[in-house]
Amino acid sequence: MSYFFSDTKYLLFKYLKLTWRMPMWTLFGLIQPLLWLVIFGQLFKGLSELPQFPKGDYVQFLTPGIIVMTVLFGASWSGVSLLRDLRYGVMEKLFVAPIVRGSIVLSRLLHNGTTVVIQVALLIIVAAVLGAGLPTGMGWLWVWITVLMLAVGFSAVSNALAMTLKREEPLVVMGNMLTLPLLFFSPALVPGDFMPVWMQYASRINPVYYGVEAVRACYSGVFSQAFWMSMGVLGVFSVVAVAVSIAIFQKTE
Amino acid sequence: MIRIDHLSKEFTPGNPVVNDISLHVKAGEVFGFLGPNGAGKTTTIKVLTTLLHPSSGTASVAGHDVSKDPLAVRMSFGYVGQQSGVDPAMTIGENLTLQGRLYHLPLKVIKERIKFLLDIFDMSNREGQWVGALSGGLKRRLDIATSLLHEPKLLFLDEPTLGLDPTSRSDLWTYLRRLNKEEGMTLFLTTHYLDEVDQLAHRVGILDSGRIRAIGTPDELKDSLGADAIHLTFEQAPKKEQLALLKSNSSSDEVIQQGNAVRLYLENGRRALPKVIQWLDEHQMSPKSVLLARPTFDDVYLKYTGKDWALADQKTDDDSSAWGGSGSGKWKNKWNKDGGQSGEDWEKWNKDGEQSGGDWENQWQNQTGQSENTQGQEQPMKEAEAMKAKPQVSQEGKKQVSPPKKKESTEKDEKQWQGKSNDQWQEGSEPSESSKEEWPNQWQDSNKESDKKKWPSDQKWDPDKKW
Repeated sequence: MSYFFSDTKYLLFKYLKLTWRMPMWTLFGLIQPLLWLVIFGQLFKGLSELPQFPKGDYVQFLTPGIIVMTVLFGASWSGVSLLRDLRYGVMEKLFVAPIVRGSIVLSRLLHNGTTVVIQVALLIIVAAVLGAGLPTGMGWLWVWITVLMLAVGFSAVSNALAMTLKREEPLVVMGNMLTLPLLFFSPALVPGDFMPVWMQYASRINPVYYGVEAVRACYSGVFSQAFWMSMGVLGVFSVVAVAVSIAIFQKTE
Repeated sequence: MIRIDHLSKEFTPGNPVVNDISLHVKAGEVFGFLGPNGAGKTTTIKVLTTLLHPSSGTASVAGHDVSKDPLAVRMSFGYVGQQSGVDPAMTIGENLTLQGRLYHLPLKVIKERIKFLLDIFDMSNREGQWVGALSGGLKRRLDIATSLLHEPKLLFLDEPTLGLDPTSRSDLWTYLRRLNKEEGMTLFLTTHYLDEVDQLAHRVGILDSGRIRAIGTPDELKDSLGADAIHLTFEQAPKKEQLALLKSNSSSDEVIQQGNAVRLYLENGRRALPKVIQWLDEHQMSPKSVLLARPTFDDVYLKYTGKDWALADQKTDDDSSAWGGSGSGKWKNKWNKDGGQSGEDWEKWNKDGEQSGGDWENQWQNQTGQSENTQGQEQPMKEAEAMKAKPQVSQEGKKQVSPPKKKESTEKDEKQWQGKSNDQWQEGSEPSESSKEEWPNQWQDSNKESDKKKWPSDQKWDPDKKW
């Protein structure tokens, strides 16, 4: 156990180094959410004049949604790199090293969290330039915590899926099947009132719903009871996802 | 160093991949686990390296039980898996440093070890190179170097030479031998190359369908078959009673049948051969081909598993590029299957022979010269006997492949060579082995020598390269 943190640290450094060495990928990861912001911003501009939408620019409404979408998409593909490590035997080599598997999982999740946080930081800056404004007051702190919990939670799910499925094709199918419905069952692109009642109910078991609510609260600076509930749900979600992921890694032979 | 007691591993209930095996490996020993794909070699190694949990039985490595104390076990060994295991997106130095970190060595020690290991594996000037750009052989060396960073006393190698070219393979053997001799490292390696265990291992375990069929030194296993082997090929598969008679009449220790092919193992093959052929003639069972040879690992394998080595591996044709030393295994299959009948393969051979007729002639001539020098009187005797066998294909062969024109070459000589060459192909013995006619005394040496020459560049046996 005494080595748990140092093992995690060295593995995290390794993964960060690998990411740093593929600047093109990181760049694409950054450009994509900006594209969403611009495209969706234009596409739904007319919609935002409908009475259900809150007053103000649609970009203002959309930005928290795009932030959560970036986290969701970025984290959901983190399992693919696990498959690469499995294929090259890199993972096997880690499994025979005298380290606990928890630190392997944790380093992977933290790495994903770090890259997503960097992406979101840049996204927030560009969105501010486009007129979305900035998080208000304590929102500056809570927005990172929200993003980190979402990223760690969803990359834990993705890693667990990758470890279970062991192959790329089913992982891609599962990824697609999960991410888009999760996004649409949330108020990311349109207000929650747009959803029919059954969808509104269904969206309450969706971590993305709470993520969007929490980030919106960070931007508005209003930390109501609903915000704390969102944070609570996200906390439970990420802890459970990480625990399940570690359990699956430990069970894997 | 390694203690396995009644170890079984099943992935689906009732279907053991490893079935009740027990074995001990002493410190400083090179133990080779031999078996075809799917025999359970990798599964055994994965249990020993704590990657898999045993279903039943116990295994301990360096005094620690693999299921009870996996972390202590992991500190005690180095592991070289089938895949490379080093990260292609990092440099050699970075891979080694990370490995050292994960084994909790201080940075100063890591630096020293890296220098030492890169020196041993002749990679000193490569520390900053990208692993992704390395050749297969170098990558494998790096793989071994990384697994040695924490100075283990035991190294597991799972088919270490799989997919390596001939030079890299023999290089790797040299490194492994040195690790064993100079560092006293215990090596536990799996392979499906017969020559690999013959070359490297002090002791060999033959594994088939999850069970250990035999354990012993390579020589013990070969000697257990008797001194000589006579390979016979018949037109039709002989009956069991006939073989029983043949066995008692030739005083063979062991008779193994495989369809049309029969192998006799006995003490003095040269003396017995005329009698055997005479007996066969008298019983209207004249063989198509006869070959007298020393038992090889192929024979050992045949004895313990009832399968021909090459045939046993047939299902894994996609692997055959990795066959390396026994690349002619593919050919063996074909010849065995065709039983020497003039099938497609034979025609292909003939065509090849035609194309490079000149070369062939030279090859044969060289060989004849060589065998005359070294053989003295024994060789002609054997050839005469081989001739008696009246090989069927010789007629065809005569048209296509020019027989060696030696100074005293007579028609008889010609026939001998035809017969002999057919034997070799049909019987599927390694051409380079049987071309070394210095047996029996120099067998050991010739065996080693032939390893270097034996490498086919692909599955086809290229006569130009062979000899």
